[in-house]
Amino acid sequence: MTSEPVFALFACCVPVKGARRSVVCDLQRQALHFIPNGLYEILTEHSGKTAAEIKEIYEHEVDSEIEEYFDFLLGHELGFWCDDPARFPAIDLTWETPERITNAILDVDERSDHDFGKLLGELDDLGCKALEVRCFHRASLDELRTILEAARRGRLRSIDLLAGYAPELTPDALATLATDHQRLSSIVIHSAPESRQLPPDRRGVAVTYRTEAIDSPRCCGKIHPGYFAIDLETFAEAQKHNTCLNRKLSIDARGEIKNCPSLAKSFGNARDVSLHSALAQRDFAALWSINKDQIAVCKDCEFRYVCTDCRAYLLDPGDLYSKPSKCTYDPYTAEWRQPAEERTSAGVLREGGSR
Amino acid sequence: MDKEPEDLFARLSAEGRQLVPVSYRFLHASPLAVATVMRLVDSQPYRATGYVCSAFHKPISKCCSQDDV
Amino acid sequence: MILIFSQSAMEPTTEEVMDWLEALGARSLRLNGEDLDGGAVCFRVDGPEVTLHFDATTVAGAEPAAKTIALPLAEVGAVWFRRWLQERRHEMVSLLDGPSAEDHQLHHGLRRHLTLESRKLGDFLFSRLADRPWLSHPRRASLNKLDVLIRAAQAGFATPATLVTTERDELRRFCLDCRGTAGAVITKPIGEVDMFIAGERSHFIFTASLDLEAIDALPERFAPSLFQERIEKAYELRVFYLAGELYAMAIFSQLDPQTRTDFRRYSRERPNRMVPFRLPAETADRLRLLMEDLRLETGSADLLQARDGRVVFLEINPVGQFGMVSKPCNYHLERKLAEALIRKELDGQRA
Repeated sequence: MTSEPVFALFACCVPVKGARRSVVCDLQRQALHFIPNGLYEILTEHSGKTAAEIKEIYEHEVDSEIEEYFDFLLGHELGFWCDDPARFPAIDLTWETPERITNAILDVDERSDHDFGKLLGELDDLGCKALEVRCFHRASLDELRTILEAARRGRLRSIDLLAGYAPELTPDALATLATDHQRLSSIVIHSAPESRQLPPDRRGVAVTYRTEAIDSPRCCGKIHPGYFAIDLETFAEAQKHNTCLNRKLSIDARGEIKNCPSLAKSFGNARDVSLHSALAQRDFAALWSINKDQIAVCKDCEFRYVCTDCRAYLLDPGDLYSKPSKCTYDPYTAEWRQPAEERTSAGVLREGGSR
Repeated sequence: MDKEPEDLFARLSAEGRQLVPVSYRFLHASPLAVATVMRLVDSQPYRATGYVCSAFHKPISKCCSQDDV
Repeated sequence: MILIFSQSAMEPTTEEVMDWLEALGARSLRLNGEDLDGGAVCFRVDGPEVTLHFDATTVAGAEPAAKTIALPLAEVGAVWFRRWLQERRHEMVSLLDGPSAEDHQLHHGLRRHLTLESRKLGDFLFSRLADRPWLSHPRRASLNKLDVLIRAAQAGFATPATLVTTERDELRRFCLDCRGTAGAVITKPIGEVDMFIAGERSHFIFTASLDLEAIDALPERFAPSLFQERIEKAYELRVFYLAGELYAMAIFSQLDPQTRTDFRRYSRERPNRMVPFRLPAETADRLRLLMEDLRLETGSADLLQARDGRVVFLEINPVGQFGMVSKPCNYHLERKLAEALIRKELDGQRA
């Protein structure tokens, strides 16, 4: 036990270093706090030292900055003055889950011919807990109800619904759908005449109308802060796994079983082959372990453990470890580029894309 | 609409007040709605009627543009 | 076969443990308290054999043609007692109609007998399985707080000065005696915390603080109430015990004035900080001793780290939520519990 207290970050507040700046990920309150790399160094290399010792190390040239840093961290409740740092270990970041598949995408368009009961039953057997249904076409209320009914007594705990606008999909109709199907977590209606965000209901279900057309898998792979997941489970998963594809299974609009509908490689058609046997194929999980530390540019980005990656739309489609093409952030300047900039070499990962 | 006094202790009769421990004077009241805002479903595999549903911890697909995702 | 006693709603931890059991290749079945309370379970008693029949439509992996699944109790290899029945239906509804509907005495008599019937049925099941390995048997799961406090002191723990009294003057003297608390005591139930629903509000019994002024406002005599010295804390500790291992978490609730007295009074905007904690060796040893003394295989202990440096024991919850320790600290307790159940079943078979 030290005589003078030392500053300690709470274990759930994890600093991550980027090329140009760093970030403290508050995994408990789900927030990011930017910090200069100098503070990152203090929090990591000099953790366990008293404030006086730290000031000494920097030859008293940055004493007031050091005090400001600690005030900042205390103000946001990211840390505390600790008498006994040995009692407060870092948080264990191992990740494991019993489900063979944790999340799934099911694509539907006007030509689709899915046996929803069979598919959802098979997903249930794999332990899948979260499903996103993407209807690229203008779906009827009946069609949406049919899909949701198939999940009635299964293990799903969350269904995210994306569907094309139709006049019958009024806020009231959707609110009723959400009440009848408590598994619904969110509803997004695309290609709507005007954008509208309904306040989440008492149970937290959000309904959004967007004017943008989300009419094919090519719309996917967007990287921006709205899609950051700042929580312990994702952060832990991100240490060793690809946070988009890990334990994900997808069925595209034609019934092809894939890691994700935007990738070319199919592991069979759901009409002929069970999801279980597709999953059992040796290279189904090949992309699951490509984490951000292995990806060009991303490996130097402070957001790398809260950002959900894309391995389908890459800057260099021939390189499996290329940065996602739809990310406009440059960690070397800490700036988000304008999305309109052309990147003509970008494209979809080619099947057999090399290391 | 809520004509009852918020304080449950105030609703006790004289005899009631004699019979309850001191901690009943300091009950923490909150609207019932707060305690029951939950999405619950039946789940066949687990014989559960109150299977708690909540949004998945990360986005499953990423089709929507930045603005207000 | 691992049998799990639970309740039918809001048990994400139970479901997660069952997911792990399945992933680890074990078979499990869940019986909810509500199933015996107007639900769909029946017992067949044939001489010395007891078989439980479950409604097959509610169990995964059942043959499509089967209507019920029969589980001979002899097949149960290990039991997890997670929770049982919070409220019985007969305690919730009005049992009488017509002119006698207001007859409180009759209602009370009826309810008392029905509760006894319900309890006896549950007890029958528990006693039939008493010779199997349990996590933990309900007979051991009903602890007396005051008794546990004394055993904790015997195990070497510092415990809060405690008073149970009906006399305001005694309470006043106690308050003045309590060291270093600037004249304040806390009060909490002798048994369990509870919640009362009245119309649109719920009323919780939380640990509450009383100063001299509040004490003087009390009547001279009241129903027997529990009081303890209020100890200024640096942080609280919640420790989960499972088969000899301890998993500790520190809770910093002083940051938010609203949570200073009882951390369950949860602040939504700024939740209390919950982080992994490494127990000092002597605290760990004392806890293990105490758990063994109470013959508990599992349980949660609440302690606090006082500002003056002492570790003070507060209470033990034998069947509490461990999800709230497991998730923030990433201790994987759901998996560990599944593994402990599997080990128990194997050990039971070898014996």
